[in-house]
Amino acid sequence: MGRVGQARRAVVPQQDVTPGNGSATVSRLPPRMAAASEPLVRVSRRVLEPIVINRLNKNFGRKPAVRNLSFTVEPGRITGFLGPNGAGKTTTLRMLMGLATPTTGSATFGRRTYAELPHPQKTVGCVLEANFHPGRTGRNHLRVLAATAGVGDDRVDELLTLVGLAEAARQPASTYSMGMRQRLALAGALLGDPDYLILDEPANGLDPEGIRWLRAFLRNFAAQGRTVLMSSHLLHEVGATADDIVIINEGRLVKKARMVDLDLHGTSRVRVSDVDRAERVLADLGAGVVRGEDEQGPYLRVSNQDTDSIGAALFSAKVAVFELTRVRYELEEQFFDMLAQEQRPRGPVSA
Amino acid sequence: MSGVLASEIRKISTTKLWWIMLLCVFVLGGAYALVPAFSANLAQSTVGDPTPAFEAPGTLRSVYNGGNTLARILALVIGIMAMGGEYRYKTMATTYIATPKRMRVILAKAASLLGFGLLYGLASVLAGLLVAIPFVLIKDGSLFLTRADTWRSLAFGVASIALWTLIGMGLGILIRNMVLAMLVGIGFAYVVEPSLAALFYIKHWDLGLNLMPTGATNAMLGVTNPFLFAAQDPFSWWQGALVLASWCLLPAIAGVIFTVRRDVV
Repeated sequence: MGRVGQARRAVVPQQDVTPGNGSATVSRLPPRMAAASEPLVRVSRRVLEPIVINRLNKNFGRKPAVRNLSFTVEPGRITGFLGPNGAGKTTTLRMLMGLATPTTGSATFGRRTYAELPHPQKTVGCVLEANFHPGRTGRNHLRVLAATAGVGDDRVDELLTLVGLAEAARQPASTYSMGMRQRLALAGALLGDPDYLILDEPANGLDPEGIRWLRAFLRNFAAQGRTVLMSSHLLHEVGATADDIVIINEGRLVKKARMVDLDLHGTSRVRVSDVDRAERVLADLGAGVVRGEDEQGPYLRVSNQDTDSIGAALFSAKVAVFELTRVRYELEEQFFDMLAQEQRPRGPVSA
Repeated sequence: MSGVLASEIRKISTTKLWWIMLLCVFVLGGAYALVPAFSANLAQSTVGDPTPAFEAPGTLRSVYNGGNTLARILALVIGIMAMGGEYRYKTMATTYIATPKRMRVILAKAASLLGFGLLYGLASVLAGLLVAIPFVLIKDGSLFLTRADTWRSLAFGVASIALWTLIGMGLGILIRNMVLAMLVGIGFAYVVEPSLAALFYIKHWDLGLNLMPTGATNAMLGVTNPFLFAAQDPFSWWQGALVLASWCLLPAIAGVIFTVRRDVV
């Protein structure tokens, strides 16, 4: 991943980053977007307020879906909202959009709830699920939304071109593929030229080209000072797009971080004779220690300490070291480690 | 508000259902109107009724609104589908995101349905009118279009259909499962209500008859046909209109209280 945050502030064309290998390659935007991006760009925009999730709780019956969740989503940035299935991501987004009522707490744009915004569609674009009346054409679906957004049919056609649905515009939505439905839903969200974009699992159903297109689009969107909040359980997808990540599990906040900060954290993998003892020693050193296990047996993942101090500390404690490797910390692993840490008590683990 | 209304009108006008239904109302409504026309014709030729059938304003009124019994069911279905379809096709979330003030959506939907309901009502009485013309010409009767009560009957025929559309919408708000709402609505109209009406009719319980949606519609239209279980002492047209309006409002208000505020699934 290893991206530099500033590189993405440029408007078109952007740097495209291939997930996983850490190398940045420059890619052109797909022609359909490049052709239509011009009328979308509004350079001078007022400074936006952050999205504020404040001590949000939601219970379904007795079952808590979201528990005391607080975080903010900064303008001008893409925030990836991560968590395993059932973590409460969609429920949180639905509360933000006013579709579900919080049990307690609030989810607001600045200080306003979605329903309190004077021009909701011109402020927030949202794709929660790509559902359409099967008999209505894609174009007519957008025309229904254009009426409430207060925009004309020319804007509808502009967006159909933008998302590459101009040719299928007059076919009923029932004939659309999953990817086409996602793109139609995105077009609907963009009708009012919003400042905020809320996307729930936007990569679902998109082909690789569609994902690349979406990624480039979102970067362009955020580069104009606008705000993107997108949920995903596909960690590498978010890793390649997001500036910030918010990770939740079982409805609780696990971690909020900037991607650049995460990338700076290297970690070390340590295999030792006495795992419990090594864990205590390294914890005393102030290192973050997480246990792991792979086909070669148990290991410790150690952060905040370089290999020299880890090796020296274990040597003084008379723990035999079988392996001590500096490893790149992939988001995926980091995510699972965070979840693991969440589920066990903090501090030294007694044997 | 005008944006929401335009949006709701587009929702109906951009699917095929509305004009297929319109066609059904017109064609089938016309077919239904043939029943009172032929029966009046038959009564005249066999019983030898001293007043020629097509010279009695009441006969003409029953032909004009002959399609009403069918048109009201189709109107009910349209109303249920306009609301229930949003749940069925899971478009309610999109709708409420476009217009987060939910009561505005409900009111705009009701207004647009009222408009389409009037259109269906118009198609229904127009079909009745077209059916009446040949009978009147052949029997040398009159269309009675100079009489105020004829026009009142035509106007109420149209209005009653529009109200039935709203009854459907009310049911659609209250019962979020469209198929279930449809079963309840049609089941009530075709099974429950006629059974109750028959019972009330036999027991001569006029109030019960008058308070049923069909009885209320009959009161609006001035229908006195015993085959339609018309009450002996029917409500006046405005009482009938009030009763019918209540049938729209009760499920709608219950729906607004119990389902509209709830989380969108």
